[in-house]
Amino acid sequence: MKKFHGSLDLDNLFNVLSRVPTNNLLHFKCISEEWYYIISNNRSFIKVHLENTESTLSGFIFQEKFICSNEDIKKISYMNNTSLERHHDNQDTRSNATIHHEMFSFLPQDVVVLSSCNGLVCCRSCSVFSSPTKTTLYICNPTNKQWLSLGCLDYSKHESIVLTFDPYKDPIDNSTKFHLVRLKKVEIEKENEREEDQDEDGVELSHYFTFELYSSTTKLWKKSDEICYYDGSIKKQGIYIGNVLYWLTDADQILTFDLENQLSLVISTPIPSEEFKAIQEACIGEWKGILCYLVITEHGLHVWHLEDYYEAKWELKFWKSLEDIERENPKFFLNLKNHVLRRVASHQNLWMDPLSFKDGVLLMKVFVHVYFYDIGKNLMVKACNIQDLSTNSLPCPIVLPYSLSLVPL
Amino acid sequence: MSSSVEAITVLSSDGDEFKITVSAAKLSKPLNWMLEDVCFSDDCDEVPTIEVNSKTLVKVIEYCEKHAPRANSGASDSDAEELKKWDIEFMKMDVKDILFHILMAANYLHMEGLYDLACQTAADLMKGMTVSQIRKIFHIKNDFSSEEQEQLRRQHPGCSFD
Repeated sequence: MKKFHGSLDLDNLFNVLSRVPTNNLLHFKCISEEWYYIISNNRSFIKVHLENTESTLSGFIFQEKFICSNEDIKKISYMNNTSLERHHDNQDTRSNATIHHEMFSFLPQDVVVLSSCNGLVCCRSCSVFSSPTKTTLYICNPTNKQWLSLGCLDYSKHESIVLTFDPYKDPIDNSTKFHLVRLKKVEIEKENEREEDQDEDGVELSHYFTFELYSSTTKLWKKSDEICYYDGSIKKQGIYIGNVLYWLTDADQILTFDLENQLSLVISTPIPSEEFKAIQEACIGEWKGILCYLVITEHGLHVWHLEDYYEAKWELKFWKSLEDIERENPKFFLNLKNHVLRRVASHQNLWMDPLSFKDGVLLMKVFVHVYFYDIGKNLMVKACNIQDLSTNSLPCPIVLPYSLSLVPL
Repeated sequence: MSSSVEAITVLSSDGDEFKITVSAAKLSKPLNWMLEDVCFSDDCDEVPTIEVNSKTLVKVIEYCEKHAPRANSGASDSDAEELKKWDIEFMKMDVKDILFHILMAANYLHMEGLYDLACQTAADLMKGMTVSQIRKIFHIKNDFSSEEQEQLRRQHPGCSFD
């Protein structure tokens, strides 16, 4: 047996460090050269670390986009959710989240964020759109500031790219394997109208969707045979959960694509919006590997779990009335229900807008403030004012959940 | 193996004698082998030495005796709950003084449960420590040159060297 020196030998140190959460571990890079090496560049350590620690939500990335203009908005904000933890530890509760605007400054260009998955982020270079436009795709890890360029591609504003990266399924021993799924909306030209351009009920469709897949192993894009004849439009960024991609559409439906059998499906959300007086806003997110649908109506906040994918069976997992939300957080809210029913004077902005949801934490905008709501712990913490994030106060910003990760590229 | 043997005697690296029950010793592969050797050999007077100091060995044996009934017969959920609470209490100890010794002893004695517990406890304690506290506990010198420190600071603005 090795002699004790009041400290640990490398093997044991390795096993202890592999259980320290990422945000703490990052500070330990400054301890010594040996520790820096273990934490920064050692794939076998990072693999064990992934196995021994739970990936937890670190914060949200926020970027606005113009609906009509062809220009991109360059400002990206990142807010970490440490204020939720501080609150939980009974420490200072009044201070807002720290907002970072330099998160992607290590990239060679200004970018628009597209998708975030297990610590990696996919972005494209900013440009002025004359559809389609040449844009450069990047995959990066903002935690260790490593990045890859995937080259140029013709990008149009009506498409969505989702990053799929699963370090548990594809171990990162030798290389970091990821995939991209590109959802393209293809307009049907009326003169070439054929019978297949109609859906099951014979209704004429104006467009359909195609899927293209990129693999980091082959470094090639490959078009899937699957075509989805669907008349809706994609409203928010797609998300990836357990081999399936989900996009929320503007027609109270979710367009899905199963990576394994490369088949798409359109499933209905649990409740159609006509049921409610207040025009409600919804978002989808992941909680414990399950797709969640969150919606805020005059009746409160509803969180539905997708229990069965093929039968589109939903189960209501959480519900809280607006009155209860207000009563439990008197310093934040007043007259919530009336406001939600009346909406703001502006035609576009909702009073309560669920922006993004991950691991039980909802990021929501209420009037001009942004809050983290930890549903499991029933804890509401103010993140910031909307002015801290946006200069234009536009509806439908891009909001991505983000987890710190040591994964090298 | 003779069933009449209920406990064996072992020596710590400091030369102190310790008794450990057969069922508790089964939690460790090397102890188990030792047990079989002792029982089958004709010369039963020889007391095996375990390369773990007395202070650590007391704790390791305490853990084994507590966990042995559950490991040998399986246990209900309430037992598992109770055992979890006991583990938390058991692990309330000084990091440098004893926790690291237990961690290394568990590794040496191939005791997976205790090893995981000790590693997780050490990791949880480290979460709340500053860089200088960690250096002190692990006897590490800051071996970055001032240029490297400057570079690290630029890369990781939140980084603190002390």
